[in-house]
This record gives sequence, C-alpha cells and structure tokens, in this order.
Amino acid sequence: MTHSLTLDQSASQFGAVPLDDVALAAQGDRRAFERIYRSHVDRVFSVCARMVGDRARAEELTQDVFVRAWDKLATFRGESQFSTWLHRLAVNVILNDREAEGRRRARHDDGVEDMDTISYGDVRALPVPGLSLDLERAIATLPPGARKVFVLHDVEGYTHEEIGSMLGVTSGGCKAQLHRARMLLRRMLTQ
Amino acid sequence: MNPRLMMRTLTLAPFLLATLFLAAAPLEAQGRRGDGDVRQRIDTTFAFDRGGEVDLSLVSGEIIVTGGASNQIRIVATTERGRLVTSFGRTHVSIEARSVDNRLGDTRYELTVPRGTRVTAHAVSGDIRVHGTGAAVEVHSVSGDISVRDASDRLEVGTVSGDLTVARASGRLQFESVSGDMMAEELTGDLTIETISGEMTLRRSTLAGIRASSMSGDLEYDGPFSPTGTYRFNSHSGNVEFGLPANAGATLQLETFSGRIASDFPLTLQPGQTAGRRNRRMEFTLGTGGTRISAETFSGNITIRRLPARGNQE
Amino acid sequence: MTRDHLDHDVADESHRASCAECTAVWTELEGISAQAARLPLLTPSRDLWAGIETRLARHGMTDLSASVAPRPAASRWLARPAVRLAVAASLLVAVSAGITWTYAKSSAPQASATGRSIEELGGNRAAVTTVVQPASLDETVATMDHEIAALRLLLDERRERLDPRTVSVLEANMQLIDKAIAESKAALEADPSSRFLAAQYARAYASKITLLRDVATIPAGT
Repeated sequence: MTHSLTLDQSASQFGAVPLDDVALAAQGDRRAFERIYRSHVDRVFSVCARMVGDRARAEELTQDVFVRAWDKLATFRGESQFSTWLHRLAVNVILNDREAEGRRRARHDDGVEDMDTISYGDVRALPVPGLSLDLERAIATLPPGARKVFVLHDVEGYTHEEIGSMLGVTSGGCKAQLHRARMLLRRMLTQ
Repeated sequence: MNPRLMMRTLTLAPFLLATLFLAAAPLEAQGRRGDGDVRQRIDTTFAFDRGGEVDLSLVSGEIIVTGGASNQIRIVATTERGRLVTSFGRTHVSIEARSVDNRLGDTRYELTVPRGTRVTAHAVSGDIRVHGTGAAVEVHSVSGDISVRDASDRLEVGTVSGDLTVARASGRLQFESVSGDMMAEELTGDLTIETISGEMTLRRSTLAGIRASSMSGDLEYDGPFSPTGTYRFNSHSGNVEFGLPANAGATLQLETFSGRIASDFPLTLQPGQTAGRRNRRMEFTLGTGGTRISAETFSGNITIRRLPARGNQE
Repeated sequence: MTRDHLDHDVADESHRASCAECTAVWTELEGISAQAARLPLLTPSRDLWAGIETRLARHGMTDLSASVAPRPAASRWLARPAVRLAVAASLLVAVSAGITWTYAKSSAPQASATGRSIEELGGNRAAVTTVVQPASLDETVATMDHEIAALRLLLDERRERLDPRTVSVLEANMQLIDKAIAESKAALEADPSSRFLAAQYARAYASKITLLRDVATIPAGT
C-alpha cells in the first residue's frame, strides 16, 4: 500500500539544524543545544504566541518547550525533520499547558478574552469604533478553541485530521471551527 | 452603563485592580489566583446579537441552552471545583471548565439565548440539552444524554454511550453513536446516521436523503421518502425496517447474506437474480420509480411495510 | 441575508456555484487564510536562553543518550497519533479497494469492480487508483491488522484516563465488530466473487478503524 501522507506540512521556512548539533545536544552538549535554540526560537515562539494570544505567556511556554526538548532529544531519531519534531513538541506543550494553568501564578487576563478588547501585546486597549484590526491582533481576539484550530491549520499548516487528534475533536468539528474562525476574522477585519 | 462593561465588572470584580497592570510584569510579582476548591459561579445577563454563537464545554455536569424571544443572553454557570474560563462578547460566548490541581467538580451551565444563536457544546459525562435555538447546533458527549429540539441549518451530534433525542431539526444532519440509542422525529433535510450497536428510530420525518449505517443496531424509518431522494441503509446484523405508501414510486435494491427479506409489497425477482441459500439480492421497482432506496445487511432482516397511500409523497 | 444563511451557505461549494455573494465571501475567507500562511515569524521581547539554561542546569548535565533506552521501531512510529489516524483514514479507502480488486481479479474482470467500494466509503477514484496494487488478501488484511494494533496501543495508553464505563462500552462494541468481521470473512471465503460480501467485510473493518480512531480523540474525564 503506497499512500503518501503530507504529515510534515509544518516544515519550517528556515534551514534544517545540522544533525550533528542534535546528536551533540542529545549527549549533553549545551552549546550545541543553544545553537539549536537560536535557530528555532522564533518559530517556536510564533506558534506559542498565536495559540495562546498572549506574548508574555508565550515566552514562558517557549522556555518550557526547549526545556522539554532537551529532555526528549534522545528520542528524536530523524524520522522527520528536526524542525517538525520540535514544532509538534511545542504544540503538545501548549495544549497540555491548559491542565497546568491552575497551578501557575495566575495572570489576571488568563483565559478571559473579551471580544471587544485587544489582548495581544503588552497593551490592552478598547477598540475605537471603525478601527480595523490587523490580522495578527484579530487572531488574538478569537475565542480559544477557534484560535487554536485557525493557527494550527491556516498559519502552521496542520491537516484537519492532525488537528483533530491533537485537540480531541473530530475533523468535522475542526473544519466547522476553522470556518467559524475565518468568518469571525473576516468580520473583525472589515469592521 | 455599557452592558459589556457591566458584565466584565461582574465577572472580573476580584481582578479589577489587576487589570490595571497589563504590561508584561515580572511573573513572580503576580499573586496567586483563587483557591481551586472554591465553588465558582457566574450569573450575568447582557445584550447578545441574533446569529451569535456560544461555545460550551465541561467534563461532568449539565449543559442547558434554551432559545427565546429576548435579545439578551442570560448565563448561569457554576462549578464545584476547578475554574471556568470564559470569553464574553456581544457575538460570541465561550465557557470552558478547567481543572485546578487536577481537580474538576460537577459543572452546570444554563443559558437562555436569543433564537438564532448557534450552539456548540461538548461534555464527557455531562448531559446536554439544546432547545428552541432555531439555528445550527453541534453537540458531543461521551456518556451523557443529548436532547436537541428545534435546530436548523446544521445539526451534528455525537455520543459514545449516551442516548440521543432529536425533535424538529432541518438542514444537514449528522448523528453518530457507538452504543447510544438515537430517536428522532420531525426531521427535514439530509441525514447521515451511524451507530455500532445503538437503536435508530426516525419518525414523522421528511428527509431528502438518508445514509444510515449500523453494525448491530436496528434501524426503523417510517418515511416519507422524497420522490427524488436517495436512501441507503446498511447494517451487519441489525434489522432494517421502513414503510412505503401504497402508491409509492421507488426503485429498491435489497441485499442480504443471511437475513430475511419481508415485504408487504409483492417482490418479484428480476431476470438473472437468484434467491438461493447464499446472497439474496433483489432489485425491483414500485410504481413509476423515482425514489432510490437500497438496504443491505449481512444477517439483519429487511422489512418493508406498506403504509396508507399518500396524496403527496413529499 | 441573515448571518446564519451566509455561514452555512458560504462553506457549501454547490451553493456558491449559484450565489455571487457567498462566492465573494468565500474568496475573502481564502484571502484571510492565505494571509495567515504568510504571517511572519514573531520574536520574543527578550533573549530567553538564560532562563532555559538555568532550568537545564537544575536538570543536571545528564548523558541523555545513555539514560534513555531507544524504543523499538514499531512503537516509535506508533508514538505519533496523527500518523496513525491519518493512515487509518487512508487505509479505509485503500483496503476496501484492495479487497474488491483482489476478488475481482480472481473472478471475471468487471469494469466497475472498484466502483462500488468507492461509492460505499466515499473515497475518490484518484485515491483508489494510486493505492490499489496487486496484493493478496492476506497482505491487505495484515496491513489493516497492523494499523488496528497500532490504534489499540493508543487505546491502551489512554485507557486509564477514560471513564471505565466508557472503556467497557468501547470494548463491548469492539467485540461486536470483531464478530462481524469474522462472519463476513467466513462468508467471503466461501463466495469470493461476491462484491456485496467484500463490501460488507470492508465496512466492518472500516468500522473498527473508525471506532478506534474515535477512541483516540475522546476527551479524558476528570
């Protein structure tokens, strides 16, 4: 049976990490791991920031991702690009972080996303009627479920099936969420 | 007062001071959130657009959404332990129950929404009831029971072992269960219904098309069938039973390996067909044809009842 | 036009074919999607490495390659649920086509040998023609069984997080499907040219994979 599946749609836009750095880091070489960090931090931070809609929390999560990657490095055997492996690990950390949220020191705006406020970035501002939100800010104001699906699909390029299995929804439910997210974004961007 | 601001005040009162410090403060400086053991309750009412959406999820407890004539939304949400994560806006409300310290108690959401509100609700062991919203509904529960009344456009329901009851739904309809029984009436539109071992009963429905699939669950459909519709019933050992009016125009394909085919209509085999010990397959036409019906089972019985003639089959 | 009408019909390709307004909306949505794919990378406001390094120091300098035993090849592949699920979905089309192709090959060739299965399972012809290969039934079934085993491992991993009553419902229904598979198989072996029985057999297998796939996505209870 030969059916090729495009699993690596989240392939990064930048060059692959030299595989010897991964091997070195797996053996405990922190310099090599720092090089890996520097090559991938923006990629990891981008998905964290857009998934959670909060830069400060995204920075925390980015650190969590790399710490976890350090722990798991030895399990990477090169079946996929390293960037893909790391990206998936990042998504897992982001999604699992929901469970740990209660244990964290709370942020006042944790999960409370009023549709009328822009929570993205360091400043929260009430929108001026008639002001168009740019896409980045609009994504941040999406409700959590729709935002995750939209970021994973339209920004990061995962398939509905992959997203379904990550989020614990059917791929049909995922498609509906995605359509809803796009319609909400359209509404916000044309107001 | 701006209702949205009022609503935010009600829900954010304990954190009002904190909202002044929104810049990325060092995380260590922020205080701990409320104790996860405290029972949390939200009770708020505010203006809500018709055509808005609500997105609700919990683990155990109950979700009740009722559509009404008002242009406001009323939300009463409680959780015994854990935390409610909410997003409230004029066009969109979402409420999610999350565990704190790995604990989440019984949760209950009761919402009254303007008719036309679209509803999405997920629960693990919670029951879900969505009545009178008159718009798209998407509901999933693992073991909770689901009841939906008066949905339109799109209705998607899924359950593992809960029971499903639907009345008055139109549009694109999709019902799935593993073992939960599904009972629906007054449906219009297109239906896809699948189960492993649940019973499927469809009454007083005018569906343009049906795709029904089961392993051992029985399927019963008492029509009517649209003259231009296509209806497919497939099961392994479940019985398939449907009724056709005496003056129906339909093309039927029936096939079963070891089940019994019983019909109030005379069944005449087409030339070349066999009705031996293995594989019983029949194709025949009633009246002038039109409706296409296929029923296939491995060992389930296929029963076709004759109903009183209808003036208008649609 | 109400918003409900727009949302429902905009996503409906057959409706858009005759509705300029919804087509226009759809085009805008595609534009948003395309714009999203081109969003630039974001950069943290500060260098996060120091914080990471501090935490790594707390982990200690362990020689990871020695402390983590390499997992056997099969389970590494299995460790990616999305892989398994996507493969299971594609197998549904491939497998049923494989079965009917095999049996059609052994009897008189029939022009629409694969047509029925495609229709039954909603697969598309293009997918079928790329995956159907001369495979014996044994090979086809072995592939499906391998996939099912992979999904079962996933169920085992999740078992403790699911309500025991749900697990018992799932197990009972799995047994039911297994019985259906066994019965269809026996019937098919006695009548290998029957497309109907081949389709029933394929459907039973597909139900099993679908059920296991759904199990993988059931949210855990408290």
